[in-house]
Amino acid sequence: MAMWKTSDDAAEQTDHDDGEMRAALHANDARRALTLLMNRYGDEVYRFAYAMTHRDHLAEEVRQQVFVEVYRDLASFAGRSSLRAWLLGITRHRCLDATKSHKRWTNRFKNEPPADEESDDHEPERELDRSRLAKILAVCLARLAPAARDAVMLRYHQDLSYDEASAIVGDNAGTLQQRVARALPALRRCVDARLHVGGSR
Amino acid sequence: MTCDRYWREGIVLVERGLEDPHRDGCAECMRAHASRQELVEALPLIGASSTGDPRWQANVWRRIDGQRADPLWRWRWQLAGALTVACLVALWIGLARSRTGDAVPRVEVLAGAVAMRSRSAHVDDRLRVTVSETSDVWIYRAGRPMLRCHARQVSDGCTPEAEGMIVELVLSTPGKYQVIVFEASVVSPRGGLDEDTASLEAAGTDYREYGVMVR
Repeated sequence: MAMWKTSDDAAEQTDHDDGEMRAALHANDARRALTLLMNRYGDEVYRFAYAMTHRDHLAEEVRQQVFVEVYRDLASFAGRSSLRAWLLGITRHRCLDATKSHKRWTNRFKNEPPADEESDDHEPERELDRSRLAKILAVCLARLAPAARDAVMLRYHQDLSYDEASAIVGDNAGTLQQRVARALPALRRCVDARLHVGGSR
Repeated sequence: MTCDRYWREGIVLVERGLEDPHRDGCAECMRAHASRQELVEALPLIGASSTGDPRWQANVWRRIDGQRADPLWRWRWQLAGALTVACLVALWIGLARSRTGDAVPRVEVLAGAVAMRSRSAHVDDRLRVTVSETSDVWIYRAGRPMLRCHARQVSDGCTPEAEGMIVELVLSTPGKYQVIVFEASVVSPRGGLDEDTASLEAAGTDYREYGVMVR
């Protein structure tokens, strides 16, 4: 379950904020609408971007780009999807762009260690606290094919239903289910390999 | 005795929200399911401890206000920048072509007689993929196979040329078309895009993937 939705209160708060945001938009107060959006979804967009890019500076750059773009396109937001789904769709595209540019840059100049060097997998203990497991998972996610990573992230990091994720990615829900079903065992193997334990799949 | 059914079949049922009667009677599958649960519960925690630059909102406003400030001045610089970039790109393309000819693989959309390096197209446009003579090309729509051309294959849509192969397909239906290009290998196609790319990855075959959206 994504952190922002851990209680009914949070869901109510989201509805309230979205309503306030739409009211600001209706009053042509784009600055207020953007401020509300940044307050409500800024951290979530950052966490999603971080999980997709696995780099702080890229995640921060993506977050700022996303909200600049949102400000530009606020008036044209048609409300066909939820604000959150709209934001996550933009974030996903900017992450793909940022990752591609970053890859081109590092391939050309080889001036940065691979992201997984940042992980702290030097303690081969089996009993993990979850935050450490999350760090290892971030490294393993970066090794998945982009389509599989998108599916896993939207479903289990952002807690979207397969139908909601399908609307963002453009592939049907069944395809996304298959991708996740294939990606999770790969993630499990990767995590186990980094923990230096065998036999637990 | 070990049972790996969960990772092959049981997990698909879980993702589809279906019951898996086998799992309840199989200790191995219950353990596998628990280890899957551990993963999905940890996934939302990725990035949870980092919040980024505390001044990020101010930076967003600075960018927005900067874009609005003095548009004429900015426009001039943008025009000058765009012209410089266009000259450099033209020079670079000219040099690259004079050295190596057209780079392959090349994916183009043909609207009538006009070829574009675009990633979007309309119904009845044609998709043309130009590859080296040793490459295989597999084309899918919405993940389903539409055309497969093996290296040097002569068939409908697959035309070997003097220095490579040209693969063409009429984009008859709206949707997302995907093109996979790789050096010919012993990997056999297994069905849809996901299965085929999984086979290629399992065989350690490098491939390039391109997407074209047809509206």
